Order: sequence, then structure tokens, then C-alpha cells
Amino acid sequence: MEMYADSRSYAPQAVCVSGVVSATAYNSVGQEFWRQLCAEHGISNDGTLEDFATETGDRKDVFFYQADDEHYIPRAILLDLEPRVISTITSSSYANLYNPENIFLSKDGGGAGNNWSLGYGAGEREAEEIMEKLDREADGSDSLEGFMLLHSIAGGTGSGLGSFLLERLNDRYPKKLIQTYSVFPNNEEMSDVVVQPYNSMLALKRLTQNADCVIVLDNAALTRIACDRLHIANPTFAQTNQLVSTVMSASTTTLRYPGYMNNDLVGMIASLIPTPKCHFLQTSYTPFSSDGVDHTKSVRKTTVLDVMRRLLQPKNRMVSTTPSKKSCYVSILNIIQGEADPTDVHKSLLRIRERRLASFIPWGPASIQVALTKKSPYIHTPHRVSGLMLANHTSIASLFKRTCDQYDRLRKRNAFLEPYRQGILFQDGLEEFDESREVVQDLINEYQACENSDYVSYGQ
Amino acid sequence: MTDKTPDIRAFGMQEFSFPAKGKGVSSSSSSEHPQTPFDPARHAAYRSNTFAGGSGYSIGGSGGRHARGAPSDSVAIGSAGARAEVGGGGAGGSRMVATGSDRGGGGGSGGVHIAPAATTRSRADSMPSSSSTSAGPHRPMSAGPGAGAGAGASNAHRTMSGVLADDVLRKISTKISEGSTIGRANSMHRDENVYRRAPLIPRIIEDQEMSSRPEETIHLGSINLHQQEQMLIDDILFTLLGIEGKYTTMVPIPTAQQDPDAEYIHREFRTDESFDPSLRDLAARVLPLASIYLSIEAFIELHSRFEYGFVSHALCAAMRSLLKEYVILVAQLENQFRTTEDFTLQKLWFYIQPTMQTLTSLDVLVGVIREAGRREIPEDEIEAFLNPPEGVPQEVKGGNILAMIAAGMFNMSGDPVTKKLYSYLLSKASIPYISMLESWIHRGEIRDPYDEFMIVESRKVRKENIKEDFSDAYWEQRYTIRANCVPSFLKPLENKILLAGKYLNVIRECGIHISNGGTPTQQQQQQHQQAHASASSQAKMLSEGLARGEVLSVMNGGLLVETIEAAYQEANTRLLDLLLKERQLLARLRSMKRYFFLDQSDYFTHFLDLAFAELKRPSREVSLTKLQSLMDLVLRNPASVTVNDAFKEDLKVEMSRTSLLDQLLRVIHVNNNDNNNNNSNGGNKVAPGGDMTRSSTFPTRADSRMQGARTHSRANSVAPLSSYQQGHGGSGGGGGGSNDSWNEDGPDMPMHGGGYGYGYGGRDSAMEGVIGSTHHGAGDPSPSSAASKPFSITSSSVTSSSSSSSLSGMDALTLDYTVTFPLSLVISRKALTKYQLLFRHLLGLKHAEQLLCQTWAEHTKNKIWRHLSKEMRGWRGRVYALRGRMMSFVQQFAYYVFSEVLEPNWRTLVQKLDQVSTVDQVLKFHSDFLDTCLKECMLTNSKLLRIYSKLISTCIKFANYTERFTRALSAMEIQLDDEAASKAPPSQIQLIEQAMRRLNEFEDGFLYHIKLLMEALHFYSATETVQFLCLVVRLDFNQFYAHQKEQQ
Repeated sequence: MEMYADSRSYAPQAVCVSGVVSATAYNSVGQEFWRQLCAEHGISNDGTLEDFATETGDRKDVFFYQADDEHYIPRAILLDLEPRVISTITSSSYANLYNPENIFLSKDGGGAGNNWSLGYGAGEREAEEIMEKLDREADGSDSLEGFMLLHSIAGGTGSGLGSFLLERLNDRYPKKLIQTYSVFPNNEEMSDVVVQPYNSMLALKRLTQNADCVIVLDNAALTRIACDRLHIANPTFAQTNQLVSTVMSASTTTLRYPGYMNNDLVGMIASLIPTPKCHFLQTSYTPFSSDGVDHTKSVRKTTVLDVMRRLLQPKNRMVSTTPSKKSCYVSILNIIQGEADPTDVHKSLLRIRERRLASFIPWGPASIQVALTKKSPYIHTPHRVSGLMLANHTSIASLFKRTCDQYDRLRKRNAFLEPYRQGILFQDGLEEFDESREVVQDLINEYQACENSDYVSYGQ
Repeated sequence: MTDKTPDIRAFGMQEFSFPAKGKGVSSSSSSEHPQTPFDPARHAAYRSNTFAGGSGYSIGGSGGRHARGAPSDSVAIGSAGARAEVGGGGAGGSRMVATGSDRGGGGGSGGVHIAPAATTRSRADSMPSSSSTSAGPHRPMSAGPGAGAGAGASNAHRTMSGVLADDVLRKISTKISEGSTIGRANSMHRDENVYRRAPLIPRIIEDQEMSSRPEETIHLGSINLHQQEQMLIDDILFTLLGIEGKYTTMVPIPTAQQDPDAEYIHREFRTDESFDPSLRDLAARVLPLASIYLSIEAFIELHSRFEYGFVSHALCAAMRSLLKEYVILVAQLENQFRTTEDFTLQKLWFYIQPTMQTLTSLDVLVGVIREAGRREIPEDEIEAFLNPPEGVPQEVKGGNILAMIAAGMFNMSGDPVTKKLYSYLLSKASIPYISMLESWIHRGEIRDPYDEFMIVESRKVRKENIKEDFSDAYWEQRYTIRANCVPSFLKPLENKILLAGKYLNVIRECGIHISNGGTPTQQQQQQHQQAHASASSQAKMLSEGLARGEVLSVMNGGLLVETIEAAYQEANTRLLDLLLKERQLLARLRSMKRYFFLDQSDYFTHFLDLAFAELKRPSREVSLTKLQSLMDLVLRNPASVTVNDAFKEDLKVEMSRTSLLDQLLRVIHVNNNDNNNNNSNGGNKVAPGGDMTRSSTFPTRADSRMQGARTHSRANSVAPLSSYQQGHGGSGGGGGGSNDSWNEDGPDMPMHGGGYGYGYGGRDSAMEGVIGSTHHGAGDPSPSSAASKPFSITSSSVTSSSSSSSLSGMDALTLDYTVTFPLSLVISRKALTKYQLLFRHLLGLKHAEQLLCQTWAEHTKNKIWRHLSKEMRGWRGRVYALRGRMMSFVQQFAYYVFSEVLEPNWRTLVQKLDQVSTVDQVLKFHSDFLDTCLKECMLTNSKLLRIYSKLISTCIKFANYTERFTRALSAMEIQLDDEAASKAPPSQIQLIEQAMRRLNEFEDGFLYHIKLLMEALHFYSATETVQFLCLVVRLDFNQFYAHQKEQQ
């Protein structure tokens, strides 16, 4: 699990927390993310500035701080309950990048065994040490704006420890934003982790109640994109990890390369999430270049319209949802990187409206925001323009619905519940499960209501 | 001899070959001293006369006339008398000598030189030369001192003609000896005039004298024809020099004639009627030459005066040299006459033919110039009395003279002789002008003591004032083209000429030495030699064709056009280099874009965070020092992108005195006012606003209010101004008028006063208006708050934010930027003000966005909002939805401004600046850029602006109300619980009710205004800029508002 301090554009803050689940190493996604950031800012793998990194106009201090010796150090905290992934990192060429004090490994090293309750319990046990690291990192930020958490919600560590962190962070920093990049399990096929619906359900409750913005990614979609869009027959985790890290870095470009707008997290999120409860965002990214993802065919020409149009296509979406006829966008933020002509933006907007490529909520004004940002001068891509879409779309409810269905099937049989009973939250019974189910159902209902024009007065 | 005479060229100048057989003494003496003898000495004569006094003159004159046939020895007495006068210390005599030597180096000596020549040639019966050079002991017996002076004058005068001297002496002496002293009292009076005006008097004969003179004793009819002819030729030869003869006299002019000049202009001569008609007829043909000569002489006299300027002087000198040729011709004719037996009037007529033509052409030109110089005498006598014409009219100075000659040259191009004459005059007259021009275009200096150059410098406009000056005065007014003073053939080049010097001056003001301006000319000359043909064709292309090309080729050897072109290019390149390379204009603009347009706004977000508390206070209590130090802190933050900006030191924080809305409305109003004033039919003009209401879209009271204000302003242009500031009442007329009224309003304004009298375009004066109001002293905030009232849309809720007395730090915050000299031409105070306006507009947006984000955070993070009883969720939903709408509005607006106004326009500007070739283009592109931005940000339309500011202020108020909504919510929660509700204080219920009411107000107000805005945008997209449609698309991308309207 990894955690990054995400800084407000002008002064650092954000802590990123990434959870590790069994075979899927989310610290390795985190590792990929930091590698990407280093490349974009011209920071070498030991934290020093590369000689060629003379360009200005970027803000390294959002995700890095400078140590006494001018080394750039990520505002990251790496958390895991088992040593495998972290030891891979500490033995890699990026070993010297991280502050060793910020790496947390559970003392017993046994992992969470895909059990939410174990992960959560580990958090409780080691709370002091974890919070101490968090506090130190937060204090080191001149103006902390929020935290970013990167985790998976299928296994035990990401969902359990992640949930614990969400609750704690909300308590400790009630005014700070909490944004998560949560990787949902591939729930189209049966996973090797049978209890994953339980873990997901319990984590979803925390994501609903304690996070301010959840960027939903799911393994099914990532694999699909890797196969379909990038023509990789059997995508490796390293390749899908790269997809995730690309999305993460792209979604933070407006913070790192200040432009006219979206220079802070809140400004970006606030318009995406008009009603606090509906804070689960989907992403699309195009085009994935051969640099971003190794060994892929590069994608053809890119214009702003082209990019914006492709971003709206479901096949580029990094979440597998099944939109209904009523599904609609609550809001869209397109972050266009590269040499985009601002006048193209308007043309594209008109075209999208004409062709009705996107339908929006009926209860208020909604539109596509387009933020134009710079591209890192140090990374050369074959395309001029690339784009990331952050969208609040009601179809996300179908994902939760599926999780609920799977959960319900397990729960009906009361299968595999025994390991959870050991957890502190379940010592008095399994109400926590029911409560979580209810919260998620509320969320689903909210999203469904959101598709109606009378949503404004929903809930009465 | 006769066979050679046609060679006489009146303007031929250099060698005047008059092959007098064996009688060359006289001609050689005159050709040896081509310049000196005639001209100065004659002046001396004139002057001596004038100083000698009228009586002296008239006696001399009349004496001379009556003296014919008198004994020759009296000549000696007469001339001796003249000398005696000199010797005796008479004012006239001494003056004569003095003037003689004053005039040109050879003047005095020439006179002296000739005199002996004349005397040596004098006949035995005339007085020896010694009598004229030494103050002889003989004093005239019959003539008084005055007569002596007169004689002396004529003596000196005649002497000049060399050949004629003997004869002249004889004549004079006879005249004097016979002459009686006819002192006339009135002639004294007249001579005062003479003293002042013109020295030609000696040749003018008093009418009264003429009429009163005794009848001729000899009846001409009785003399044979040959004798008659001889007498007539003798007389005509005098007349040709402007002196009345015995038989050829001037036609008297009516006494009513006021213009003193008229005495010499085209005075007709007539011949005694008793001559044979054939002779009279021939004489009548010759005599106009005398009139012309007189006329030209008079012109030269007048226009040689110093105040007529160099060009006039040069022209007069050229003319004078022509006249000298003419006089020489006359002298030679007389020589012929005296020495040849068969010299007839016919011959004379033949010989003067070419001269006649030349002088006639000259006279035409003189007439043209004279006419141009004639002043309109105002009909209103009081006016005439109050504003007497002063100085020399601009029309007869400098460039205009050149223009007139050039026009003559053009008109007469069918006549080679005349054309040659004119081009000679032009080439001479233009010499001083060209040298002025060259010193201007090569060194940027104006050497123009007589105000005749086409460029005028205004000393009071100084570069030091640019910083405070809002009018671009330095650039626009420091050097201007003098109205009506550009020679027409330079008209197409005038801007290049002006700019060339202007650029050089800018460079010089920067302390950069301007290297020798001669270099380009030399290069040019080489080029010229190589490619004369192409050069002249270039000159031709420049204008309508041949005519102008020829005119230009006469001046400065045809190099003028290329010289100007080259100088212009040179100056242009140098200044462009200075601005763009050395002073890094583009980098400057980029840095300004960063600071004022928030192009990388991280610094500003940070600043707003740090200064948030400070900016919440009323603007008067805000500590600028603190803000500045915070700003410095932010800019120097090593992580910020601004840290690498070399110009960050130049950024200053400032507090404006007026709210943005007020400031902008003033701009617009001054604009409207100007427009109204400019359109004299302002009342008929249908204002867009009017159209709008009529086209049914604006049913509201707000609209009718605005409409009211508008029509009111059209009906009486004074009204809107006076509603702004009490001091503005009097601005009746035009841009200038309203400017002045703006100036009055602040105690610190007088410093700008100087530059304001000039009429600017509407926009300019508007800008000054604004600026005036931004800078006007702390004195009176009240008028401006009063001013905002007529425009507040719903008067109850708007006012506070726009009134300056309660202006918060945030509303007043603005930036300033230090720009140093040459760059301040581009980034003038006016431009800077536009930057500031845009900045404040963006600041308003950012501020609203920031507040709404805080509200969002409150809604998201606060437990009261998050965990709410079901009953309250509907209400909460409304608050969320409203916040969402506002957020969407503010952000979409910001996206529009940034990505559809500022950025594209900026790119266009950069692109244009890349290819820019002149400095003025730079200025123009930059100011176009700003104007377009202002317009597309809807800052130039009062209606849109008001709706917009209403929306933003609703958003800000709503955001500021968040906390009370939160309290109301928790109160509601309590109310839900019956038990707790009973204990709750009644204020809680009040709070809830108020919150409910306010929410309704906010919802209604926002919805109403955003629909209004979109309709207005639709409407104005037709008249103002299509760009507004983009904004409409953005604001209502999913047609939410449109559908709502349909449902209604």
C-alpha cells in the first residue's frame, strides 16, 4: 500500500496510499506512477535533477520535496503488510528515490490474506506508526490540500488497510480532500479471491463515506483495453499498471503544469462532483503511446476533436459498466495535453453537442470542461495531443450493482464469513456487512435518482 | 549684336554673354560682378530714401521729372548734394552706405566699384566721379537736403546699371536742378507707412503730383516719329526697372485700396497719349513687363523677411537672381539703345520676348503664393479685433511653397521653358527644406526656427510622463505632422517621414547614440548611381505617376524618395530591434500575460490563499505593504513557475478606488457619449438596447431601467456624466469636452491636463475617463457610489458591492507593472489600464470560483451537510444544485475567457509580432489585442456587463451565505425533533425562515439573470462579436436552461 502527499499546486501536499493485494502489486502501480512523474519532471531515479531538465513551467513541489542535498523526494508513503513488492522496489534502481522512513511494513509480515478484516485490524494495530508517518509528511507540506490513496479493493490489504486509512484521515484532517484511485476487481470472471465481494463491499462503504473523490479503475476494463486497444494478447500486470499510472499522472497534470485553471485539487473536483455523494469518477485515456505502454502499436493522428470524441467512447473507458438508456454524465473534465489549438476546443464541443455523443443530467447545467495543459518536454510521444477524461457518469452504479449482486450471492449462503469474524468490527456480529450493503444501495439509488430531472429534491 | 540677343536668358544665371562690340566695358563690369552690384546697392538706395524722409524723396522725384533739359552742370551739384548729405551725417545717407555694405559681401564694394565705372564713362558735361565719391564742397543751391537725398538715392540706384550711369547722372542732375522743392505735408504721413512696409516707394508717383504737374511744353505730335520712338524707348527703359518715365506713367489706383501690397502689384503703366498710336501700341505690349517686375520685386521684399522662413528666403534668392538677370538685360538694352543707331522699339520688343515669358511665369507663381497667403478677414469685427491675425500664414511658408511650385511645375509641364523655370525654383527653394528633412530622418532633429517644417515637436510631452500619462501622448503627440504643411508631393511619404524621425528620437531618448545619418545616404547614392532607372520608377510608382516623380527628382537630385525610404527602414529596424531584441518586448508581454491574465495562475492561487484574510477587509484598511510582501513571497517561491521570470520585480500590488463595474461602465458611458456626440442625429439612432426591448426578449423592470438610462443619455448627453460626478455637468461637446470634464474630477488630475485638449477617438477618451476615475484622489468616493445607482439592476441587492465606500480589498485589488521607457510606448498607461481591467475581471472570476469551491468543501466535508435527516435532503438538494449551477457558470465563463478569448488572441498576437515590420504595427497589434480581449470578455457592453456582474455578485453572496445556511440546517435538524424544537430559541426559527427566503431569492435571481445573459449574448453576438455564441454554448451545453424555458 502506498500513500502520497498531494500538494496544492503552489505548495506541496497530498499523500498517496496504495494498497497491495495478493498477486496484484499496487505498490508496483505506485512505483510506476512515481517513475512516470520523475520522467516528466526530469528527475533521475535517485532523485537528482537530470542535466537536460532545464525547462521551467512545471511545479515539482506538488509531489516532491527537496531534501537538504537538493534531492527530490516523493511525498509518498508506502504501506504493505507483506514485504515482497516493497523489497522489489527497494532493490530496484529507484530505491534511493523514496524516503526510507516512509516505507511501512507490517512487523509480522504475514500480509492480510485477502481478508478485509485482517487488513483493517493491522491498521488498527499499527495505527500509531502509520499516522506518525502521515503526520510527518503532512506537516512537511506548506499547504496541504489533500491526500491521494492508491489501492485495490479486492484483496485484504488494499481494502482493509485502505478503509482504515480513509477513516483515520477523515478524522485527523477533516478539512483536507481525500482522493483515491481505487482498482476494482475484475468481477466479470470469477476471481481466485473468493471473498473479494465482501472486501469490496466493506471498502465501498468507506469510499462512499470517507473519500471525497474516488477514481474508479477496474481490472476487467484495464485488461480489455490492453487487449483491444493496444493489441496485446495477454497483458501482463506491468502493462496494466502502466495504464493506471498514465491515468494518474495525466489527472494531475493541471496541478503540476499550472495553466489558467484547475491549479488546485478542489477546483478540479468541485465541478466534477456537484453532489457530494456521487463522487465516483470514471476515466478514459487516449491515445496510449508506445512510450506509455511498452510494445504496443502506436495510434494514428490526433486532433483535439479526435481525442475528445474518442474519450467519450465506452471502449476507451477504464471501467466496465453497463450503461442503461437513462445513464448520463453529471459532468466531464477533459484534460488535453500537448499542442492543442484552443480554437479547436470550441469546434469539438459543438460537434459533440450536434452529434449527441454525450447525454447529460436533466436537472442542471452540465458541460464538458476542457483544460489545456502542457506536456512534459522530456517525454517524446508520436502524437501531438493526448487526453484524459474524468467523468462523473451515472452508469458507475452498475458496477456497484454487480458488486452487490455478487455480495448478495455469497452473503445469502453466508459463505466464507468465518475469517471476518475475527476482526474487531465483527466481534459483535455481522451488522457491519449489512450496513455497508445499505450504504452502497443508497449510493446506487442516488445515482439512479440522479438520472431524473427531479433529482434536486431527491430524498424527501 | 542683334543676332545674339535671343541668347539672353533671364534665368540663365552663370554666364551672361552679351557680346557688345567694343563696348563691353559695361557688360564686362556687370558680368564680373554678377551678384553684387545691382541688388544690394539698390536696396541701399531705397533705404536711403526711406530714411531721408518723404519730402526729400518727393522732391527728388518730382524734381527729377521736371528737370529734363536742364543744364548739365547742375548734375554735379545734385549729386554732390547727395554726397554732402552723406557726409553731413544725414540719417539717410549714412544709412545708405551702411545698408549697402550690409547686404552681402559684395554689396558695398559693388556699389563703390560701379560708381567709378559709371563716372569714367560719364560725359564731359557731367560731374566728374570724384564728386560722387567724396563729399564735395558744393552744396546744392536749389534743392534742399531732402532733394539731395532723393537724388543720391536715385543716383546710387542708377549707378548699379553700370552702362546707364552716365545717362542716369545726367537725368538726375537735370531733374534736380530744375526741380522745385515741393515739400508735402501728407507725404510725411505716408512715409511712416513706407518705413514700415516696403521700400519701393521711390518709384511710386503721387497721383496728385502727376495730375498737378505742368503741361508738357513740347507737343509730341509735332516731333517726328523717330524722335518720338527714341524718347519712348528712353522712357520705357526706365519704366522697365520700375521707375516711371516722363511719358510712361503708372495708372493711379483708387485711393480706397487698402492693401499696401496692392500698390506694387500689377500696377499698369500707360503711355502718353500724344505718341504715335503705333508706338503706343507697341509700348503697351512692353509695359506689362514693368508691372510684373514691380510685382515680383514687391513679393521678394516681403517674403525675404525673416519670419517667412528658410524656404521663402531660398525662393526669394532664386527669384532675385532671376531679376538680376532681367536688370542686366535692361542694362544691355540701354547700352544697345545708346550705342546703336537703329535700335527701335520693335527690336526692344523682340529682345525682351523670352524674358517676358519667364517673368510672366514667375509672376503667376508669385500670384499663387500671394493668393494663398491672403488671410480671410473675419466678417465679425469683434472677432477680428479679438483675434488679429498674427505672424505669417502657414500657407506661404515651408512645404506649402514647395507644394505650390510643384503644382505649377505639374500644371505647366506642357511648356518646357516654364517647367524648367519652376524646377529651377523648386530645386533652389527646396534646399533648406531638404536639409531639414534629412536632419530629421537621419538624426531625428528638428531645425526649424520658423515653423515651416512638416513635423512639429511638442516639448511639453515628455517621456517621463508616460508612466502617468494615459493617453499615449508621448507617442501620439510628441511629434506630429503639422496640419496643412506637408507639401503635396510628400503626402504619400509623410507618415514614413514622421515615423523615421520619431523612431530615431525614441532611440535617442533611450540614451543610444545615433550614428552618422550620412551613411545610408552614401550607400544610397551608390545605389542610385547603379540603378537610377529603377529608383525613378520607384518614385513614380509611389505616386500617381510621372508628375510627382519629376517633382521629387528635381529636389535633392532625385534621391529624396530613396533617402526617405532608407531612413525609414533604418530607423524602423533599429527601433524594432531595440524593442524586440534588446528590451525583450515579447518576453515582457509574456510576463504580463502571466501576471495579468493568470496564464500560469499557481502564483495567484497561492497569493489569494495567503492574502485571503487581508483582502476580506475593506479596501481602505488593507495594508498595501503587507500585500506587496506577500506577493513578493509568492513570486519568489522557488517552486513556483514565476521564480524564473526575470521581470517579477516589476509587479506591484495596488488598490483601485472604484469597483470594476463602475470603472467599466464609465468607459462605456464615455464611449456612448462620444458616439452620441459624434452622431449629431444621436436621437434618431436606434440603440441596440432599444432594439432588444422591442424584440420582446427583455420584459423586465431592470431592462426598462437600463433603457431609460440609455435614452436619457441620448436625449441629453450631459446627463449621464453628471449622474456620475457632479463635476461633469458641463461636458457638452465631443470627445474633447468630456475629456476635460473627466479631468476636473480629481485633485491629482491637473498633471495630466496638458495633454488632454486634443481630440482623441472615443475609445481613447473613454480610457482616460476610466483612468481619471481610478486615479482620482481619495477625495470623494461618494459620487461614484451614487453613480452606480442608476445602473444597479435590482437596486436592493446590488449596490453594496459596487459602491466604492464599501469596496472590499478583493474588489479593489489590482496589479501594476513597472514599464521602462521605450517599452512604455507599447505598454503605455492606457494599455496597462486595459490589462488591469482584464485582470480585475479575471480576479472577480477567480474569487467567485474560490468562494464556491470553499462552499463545495463545506458542503462535502461538513458533517451537518453530509449526514442529514431525510426530511432536509430536498432542501439540501436545492442548495447543492444552485451551487452546482453557479460553479458551472463561473468555471465555464472562466474557461471561455481563457481558452477562447485570451489564449487564441494571444497566439494571434505572437504570430503577428513575429512578422512585424514596423514599430507602429507593434503598437497597433498590441492595442488591437487588448481591445479584442476586452470586447470578447464582454467588458465593453454595459448591458452584458451589468447582467454579468449581477450574476457574479449573486454567486459571491451565495457563497458568503454558506455559513448561515449551515447554521440554518442544524437549526432545522433541531426543529425536526419536537422535544428539542420546543426548547429552541425563536431566533432559530427566524434563521431558518431567513435562510429559506434567501435561498429562494438566490435561486430566482440567478436563474433570471443567467437566462437574461444568454438572451443578451445571443442578441449581441450579432452586433458585437460572434465569440459570444461560444460562451452561450459553454454556459448551456446540455440545453438545461433552454429546456427550462421551453417548459415555461
